[in-house]
Amino acid sequence: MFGYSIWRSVQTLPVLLGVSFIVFISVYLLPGDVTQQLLGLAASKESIASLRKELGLDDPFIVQFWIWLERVLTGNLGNSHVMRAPVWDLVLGKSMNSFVLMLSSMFIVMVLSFMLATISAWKKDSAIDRAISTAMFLLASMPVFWLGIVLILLFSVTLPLLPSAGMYNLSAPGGFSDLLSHLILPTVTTAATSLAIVTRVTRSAMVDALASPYITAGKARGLSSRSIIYRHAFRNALPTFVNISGLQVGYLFGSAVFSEIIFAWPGIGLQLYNSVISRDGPMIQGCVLMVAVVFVLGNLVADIIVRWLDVHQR
Amino acid sequence: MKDKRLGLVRAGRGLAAALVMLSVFVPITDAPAQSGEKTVVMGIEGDPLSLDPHTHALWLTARVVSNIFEGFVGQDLSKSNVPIAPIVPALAESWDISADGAVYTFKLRQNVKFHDGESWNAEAAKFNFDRILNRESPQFYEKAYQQNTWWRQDVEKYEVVDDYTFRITLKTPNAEFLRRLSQGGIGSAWMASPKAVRAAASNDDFAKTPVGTGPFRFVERVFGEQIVLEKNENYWDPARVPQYDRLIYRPIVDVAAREQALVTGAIDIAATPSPDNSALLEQQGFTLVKGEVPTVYVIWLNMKQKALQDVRVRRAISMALDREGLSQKLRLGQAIPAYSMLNIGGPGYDPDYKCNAYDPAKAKDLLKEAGYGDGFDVKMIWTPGGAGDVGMVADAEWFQRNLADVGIRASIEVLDIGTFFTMMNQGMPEGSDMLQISWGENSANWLDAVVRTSALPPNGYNSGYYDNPKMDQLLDEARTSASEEQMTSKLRALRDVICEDAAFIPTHSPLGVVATSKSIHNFVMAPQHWPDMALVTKE
Repeated sequence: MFGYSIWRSVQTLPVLLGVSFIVFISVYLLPGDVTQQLLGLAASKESIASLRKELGLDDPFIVQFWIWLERVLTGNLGNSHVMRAPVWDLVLGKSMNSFVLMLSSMFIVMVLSFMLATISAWKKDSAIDRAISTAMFLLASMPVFWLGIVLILLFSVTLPLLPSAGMYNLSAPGGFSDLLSHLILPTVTTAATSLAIVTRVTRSAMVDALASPYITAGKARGLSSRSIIYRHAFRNALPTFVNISGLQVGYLFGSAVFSEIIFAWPGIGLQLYNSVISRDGPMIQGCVLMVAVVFVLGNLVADIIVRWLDVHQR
Repeated sequence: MKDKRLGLVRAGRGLAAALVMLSVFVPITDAPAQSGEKTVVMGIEGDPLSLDPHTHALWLTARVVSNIFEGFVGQDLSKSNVPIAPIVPALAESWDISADGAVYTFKLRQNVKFHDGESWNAEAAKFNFDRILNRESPQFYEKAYQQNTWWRQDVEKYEVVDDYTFRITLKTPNAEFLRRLSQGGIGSAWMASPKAVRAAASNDDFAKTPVGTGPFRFVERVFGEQIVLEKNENYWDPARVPQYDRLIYRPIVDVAAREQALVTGAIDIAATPSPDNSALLEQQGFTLVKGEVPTVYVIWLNMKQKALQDVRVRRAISMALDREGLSQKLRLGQAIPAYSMLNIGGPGYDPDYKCNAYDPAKAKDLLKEAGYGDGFDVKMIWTPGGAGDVGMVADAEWFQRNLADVGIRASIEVLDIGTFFTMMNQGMPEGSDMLQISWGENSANWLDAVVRTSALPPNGYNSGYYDNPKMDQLLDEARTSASEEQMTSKLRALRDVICEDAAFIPTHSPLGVVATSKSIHNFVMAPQHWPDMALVTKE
């Protein structure tokens, strides 16, 4: 088990290196550079030239590649060109904010999808199953940017119940409860798609499990529904549930960019968006790498849990 | 039944555990602000750059920096819709200008302290000038030297006369020198605390903890999230001591999200709401503060394109554009038609001036004369714009319809702002005909980067290759004019040459607009890219 975890962790390193390389190439090939935006349009030619030199933007490809390789391998990603501060410090700060949003979304996704999938599978082909399926289908089809704005309209504007911008009320920061109230709408918006995906996949796994001969055998012996569902059927659907949920970790962490923009949530997605717009190479690297790390870690943890759940492989 | 309840209890426990876990990770902000403290939160269009007054680069950043720092002279931003913001004393109480216009002697204000307690005097002024101009000084900052070319280029020398007298000698007279000393947006001659600059480990570090003499003190910045300032209760001008405690700038890039944040009360002031939502915001009880600001949207024409080499075609394009219609119908009255490179709120602006104005019939005649009676194809390269631009692509579509009316078939290619700037700097690519960007300052210096032959790509933003030495001559003459009248006449001569050549086509100046909550008063949209936040009050 321990050896397996180590081995899987080592396997993730080439993935991260590959991701980082692709980002490096993309930033290098992207038209436009950071200097004009840093110095303004009225900046003199000398001003732009010396900043390009300072940031190493004029170095030949091979030199830039070497600097990048060194940075990735040593884990020191350098300074943000725009904010002039160490990339890791900035990325970690934003990651914390994204982490909060990811955890709360993950919580909703796992609890709700488990409940909905179980009901759906148990009452397969009933009205309630079809209602849940339709609802999930609708949820998955709603664009995040649309859902977010509708939620704001409903719960912030029409019924002024919940705040819609940022993590705290800046005029009078209220601590944890303030954060919770700011968290609700972005969480629901971010969780929507994942909820639909996890519910659909888990339902299928549950349906398969419930159709197995051993369940029929269990029913024949007079086991209670509760015992059949939780003790026997779900046990078999659990690896699928964990795997698909693990995939959502990275997705919720890195792809929350729409909800982060709409709700002005200062997370990694919003930072990545701003960094791409301003062509801040080191920051783009840092953000993407961070998202990739969380993605890989989410899968890794899911894999390890699944292996641990599997009695044969334990 | 019992089982069900157990399930609920379990779910409740799970929820509680999750909350506890969350609270471990969450960086909880400070306890609630002390009761009775007044905070004004302004939602702005993007994250400002370096808060160093000498290198701040953009007016988006100047908007923050101008609260913390000031120069010898300032601009009175307490009135809107005046032709140009008047120059007023700031860190200098008074000044003398020699008869030949070359020597400026400033009497500095006494008993002024920087936010860190350092005294303001002629030595502090010299420290700042050395940082920008003197390569031999330990605090010399190359980037500051380059970002301030536009005002320092005429400075021959500067000296401390006594503790509170500072003298600047220019190589040639410069009718706009005081204005340039008061102006920001690229770099500025605003004064930083020598003690703080020396104490900072690097210039970048000083920009993270800026110290000046202005009506607001810097408190804290979280990149991309907030910049917190607090009032300087010791500010020298009692009329500009802020009437509230904290000023927080909060970047919210998306315009709809910014408007939402205002509606839901997360911010008190939203910068640049979209014209389309103005009526709605007003209906909901928010105040729209509007005023003329020194911005002008200009179309660059690619002089290398065959059709555009004919001045009749260029004039026809200008005459095809319905600027009135755009201002009234598309921008809903929140724009003013523009015909001149001398922008509103800047030197030499004339509200009655018109040039190659809307006349589609005449445009068609000109095209026929030039041999394009059957029309021709043009490619417009556009951008949704940077911070502060709204509705640019809709403008492009408006122009596209205007051009179609005279037989010109236009296609639009939209680039993001970063790619767009680089394209402008490299010059308009082959096959492209028109581009548009907003510019304008309350000093004429921006024209140096746009119309001069020395600004031809890749050295500046004369991106359409308008190669006319007359521009250089007139701009030099304007800058080194001894009097404002002379400067204005030179600038207007330049304007007329550009109009005659239809080399650039100004189209419109959007009004500066902010939306504020009902509790905000005295927000003045003066003709400047940044407002005087010290005048604002909150109920």
